[in-house]
Amino acid sequence: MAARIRYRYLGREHPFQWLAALAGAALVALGGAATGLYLITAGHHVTGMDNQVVWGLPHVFAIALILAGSGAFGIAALAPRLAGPLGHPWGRLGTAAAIALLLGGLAILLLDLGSPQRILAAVWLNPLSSFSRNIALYTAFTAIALIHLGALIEPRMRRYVGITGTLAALVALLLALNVGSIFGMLGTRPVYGGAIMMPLFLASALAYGTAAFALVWQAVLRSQGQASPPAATAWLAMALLTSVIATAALLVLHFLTLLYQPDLQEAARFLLIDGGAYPILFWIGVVAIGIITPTLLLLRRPARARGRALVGASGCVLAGGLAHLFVVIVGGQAIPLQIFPGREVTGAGFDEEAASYVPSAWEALVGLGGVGLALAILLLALRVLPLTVKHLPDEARSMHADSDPVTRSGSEAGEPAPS
Amino acid sequence: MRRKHRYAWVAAGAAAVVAATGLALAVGGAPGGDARPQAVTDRPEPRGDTCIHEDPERMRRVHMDRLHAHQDPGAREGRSDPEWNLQSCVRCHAAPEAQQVAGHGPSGSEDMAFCASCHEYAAVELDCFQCHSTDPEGRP
Amino acid sequence: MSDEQPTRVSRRQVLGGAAALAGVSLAPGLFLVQAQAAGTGADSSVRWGLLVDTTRCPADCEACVDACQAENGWPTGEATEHPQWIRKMVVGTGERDGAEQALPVMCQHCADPPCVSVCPTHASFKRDDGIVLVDKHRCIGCRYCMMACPFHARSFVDAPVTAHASEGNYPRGKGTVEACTLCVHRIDRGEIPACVERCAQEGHAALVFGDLNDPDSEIRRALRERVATPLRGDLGLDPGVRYQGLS
Repeated sequence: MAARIRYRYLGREHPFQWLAALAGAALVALGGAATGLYLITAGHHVTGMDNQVVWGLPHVFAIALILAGSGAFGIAALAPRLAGPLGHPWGRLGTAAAIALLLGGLAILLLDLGSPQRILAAVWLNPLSSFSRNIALYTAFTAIALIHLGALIEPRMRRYVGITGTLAALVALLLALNVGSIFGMLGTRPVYGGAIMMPLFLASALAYGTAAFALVWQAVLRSQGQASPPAATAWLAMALLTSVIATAALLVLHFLTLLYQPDLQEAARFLLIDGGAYPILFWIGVVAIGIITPTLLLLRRPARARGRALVGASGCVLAGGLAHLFVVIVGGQAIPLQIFPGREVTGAGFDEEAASYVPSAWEALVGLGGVGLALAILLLALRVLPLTVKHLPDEARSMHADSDPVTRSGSEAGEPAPS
Repeated sequence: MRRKHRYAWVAAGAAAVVAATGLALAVGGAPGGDARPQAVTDRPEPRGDTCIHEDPERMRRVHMDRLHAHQDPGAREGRSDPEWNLQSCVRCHAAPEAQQVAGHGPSGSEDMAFCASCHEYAAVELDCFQCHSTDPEGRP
Repeated sequence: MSDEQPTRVSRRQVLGGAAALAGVSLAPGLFLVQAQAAGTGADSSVRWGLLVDTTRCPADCEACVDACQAENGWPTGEATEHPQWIRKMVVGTGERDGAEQALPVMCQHCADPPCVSVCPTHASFKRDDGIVLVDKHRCIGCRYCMMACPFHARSFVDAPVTAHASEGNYPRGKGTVEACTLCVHRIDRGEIPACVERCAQEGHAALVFGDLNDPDSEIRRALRERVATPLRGDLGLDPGVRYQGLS
């Protein structure tokens, strides 16, 4: 099967377009880096974050990227097994996209630290902390995924594809669960619902990852002048639909657990009804755009086979994901802590009322910088590594004319001589 | 790429590196050279007659390890060595008003020009005085 | 590949040579640094604690807050934007004309601190004598401990700290997290925390400081006289700060 797939490098036919895209992504990434440097020297007081809302927009972007990276690798690893020959071409692209997304998210987290220069001294990590487990998982995932990518590309390493893929998928799964544990294991913030954060973030990771990968794949197809193959598109759309429904189910469970406990009903009501921006973001961003719209777009079988529906649904899922993370991360912090449950309290501002958090431009720049970095890494990878496929398996019997010149990439990727 | 082209590229790269190094040496002079760096000659003199710990040459090389070794006992275990905590260094090495060079060192370190002068020359970040006081009276 | 390789070096030789080289280069470092800090250090047989008698704490008095600011050098201002090591809270009973109780809230120096278990770099740590501190040498400013603290005790230094010589007696710097240190720098000199001292000077004497492990200390005697409860006792954190008179 693999012998019949010939991979190529993207960007050779239209180098100026590739360069323009890379320049744009690199510019955004540089903007984020410069802003991060500014935050380190000037201090975080220039942002909208304060002592009550300590994690703001940068964390929303960072966690979205990290979850998308884990989920994208999940799809890349699962597709060959579940979708058969349809999924084989996604292995390389999905792995590269996963690494790029993860690195983009990590960059944001590093830039948002108050004293990132001290992280170099942090060789003694605290295993009880979700953050340090995450550091171990990020490193493990990047290393194993890179080896997996090498195994996919280099024919002499082909026999390691199975084991590295399984290991990387396992680490990606643990990573998504561990990101959920960052919030779920905070006893002081019961609004996060405890353990349910972990499967919720796992489902979200699959949803965001599938959506991000679908967008990348469709963009690659578009730039190569290829039509979206119906069977593969339908499979990916079904995967997206399934993960969106799973996320929605777990979201419902999360809020049900809140509403069932009398002391948490006020917190749930804040997020769902009277919290100002948060209910708006939730009902419009998360529910309407993030769940209902993609479901409607992908519900019917003929729609799933079309690339346009997949792209639209993916965009909506990612927008809804950002909204969900904002409501969870920022909304969860905006609620005052109950030091004296049920009593009327006056004290510092954060004891009395919910925070009003207005993100500053700096935070948006840092967040978008991470997205730009992910795109830049992906574009570079597409150019120097044979990641994209000339002929998709079910296209081999189609009537598309072979208008692309035969590149040398086929033989350089170690494929046997074309028959 | 063909093998001889590859060799040609590697050789050209190596030649470029050698040429650049030669150019840098010609323009900037050999490292070290005869005279002491300006940073060291400009440095404010510490109070007191001699360095109480080691001779200055050795201190220049080992002061970071000494400070680092006393960091954890002081900050985490409450065992602050009166000779080796940062306050005791500041007591002698904080530059008096007359010898402070304006703009020397990162903000908050103008009065630690003794440290900042070498650290600027060596381009090693001087992170201590973002948190620690430069008060020669010894407040931390 | 020819069989004649007269200059072949065996793998064993290479590894042995590398190990010897590493040993030779590391050996000077092992002898270079010998930290023998003087001083007795934190004693694990001691557990420092604070007792707050809320019946002696007036709602409109901020003496402890002022004393802490003067001692430690953190700036005044709205707590969400500025650091706040200690703050006064006034708690009603829930009835419209019910009685109120006033109390200062600071880091509770828990025996099982959530901030310590979530800190990735061990910057947030508990000293042997029970004081919970932030090791600024390790703090990377991730603010996870601020998320984990049930009492909102920690603050993030998000602006440059200026004029060290004129400010407090404890190091604080931009980009790290800080909180009440129980005036550890004073305790290590044998003194009491600044807030306790000022409260006594003001005549309220609502704060008692001492060793919770010493049955004859003033704090233990006070605890025997009247029940003291911790804040958020349901969380099981066993704080070193206890409050009397809270219903």
